[in-house]
Amino acid sequence: MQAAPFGRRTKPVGGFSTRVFDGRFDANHMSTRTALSDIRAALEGCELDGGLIGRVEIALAELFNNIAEHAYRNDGTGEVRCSMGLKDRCLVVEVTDQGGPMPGGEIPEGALPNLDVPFEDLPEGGFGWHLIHAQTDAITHLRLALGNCTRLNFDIA
Amino acid sequence: MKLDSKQTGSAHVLTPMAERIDAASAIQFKDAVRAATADGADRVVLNLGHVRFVDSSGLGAIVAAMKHLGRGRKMDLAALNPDVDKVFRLTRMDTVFNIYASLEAATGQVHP
Repeated sequence: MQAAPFGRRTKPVGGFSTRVFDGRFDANHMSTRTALSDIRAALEGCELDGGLIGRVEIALAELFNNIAEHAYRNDGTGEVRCSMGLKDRCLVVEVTDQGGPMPGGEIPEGALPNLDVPFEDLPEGGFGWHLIHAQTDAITHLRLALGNCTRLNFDIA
Repeated sequence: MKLDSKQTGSAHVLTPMAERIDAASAIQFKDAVRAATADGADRVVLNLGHVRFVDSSGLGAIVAAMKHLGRGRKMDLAALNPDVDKVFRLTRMDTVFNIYASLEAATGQVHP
């Protein structure tokens, strides 16, 4: 399948007082690692506090892995675009992909898996969206003609 | 993934020599722990002192490694950094594992 270019509707968020990061990478585990490392370095360069940087790293790790595994069904070649900036005491992160829709067309609520189960049945997954919700102050999602645009807000204390 | 493995008192201490247990390394982590715990003490202490980051895949791999030990053995965790500790608390996995602030605290709990 030929990749379609990102359209005008997915242009980076505007109006930042400080642009922090803007990058594109392939949706696979190793590229995600590199992107997370680049993003951490960019956030440290803005002298944001370690707690906030930790929140961003966990939320984005989960979101990027979800895009790789679900939106792109692990094909390893889909592209993820991530841009972020500071705006009114808030770090705004916009993540765009060209993959399939969210189940039901909406962001999962992220209910925690049940832990009150026999030892052999303890869950080994299903934590991702719970972690994303827990680390962010707001999430918005827009289904595009071809892809998804997810925006995460992190308030800065 | 390289795991340092040694006996301390009656506990088998496993120390992943990696900064991340994440989606990219979860399978290698699971395989390394399984190989290292094929035999040995009933109590395994997973020392996360070198690990800076665990995502949900890494968390799932730690749970899988603990389940693989079976009901007769146990896995405790030690030396979680604040970000790693937060992942365990937010997913309530801190109610499944015994978590010690340091390796010394974990192995000091071992009675002769």
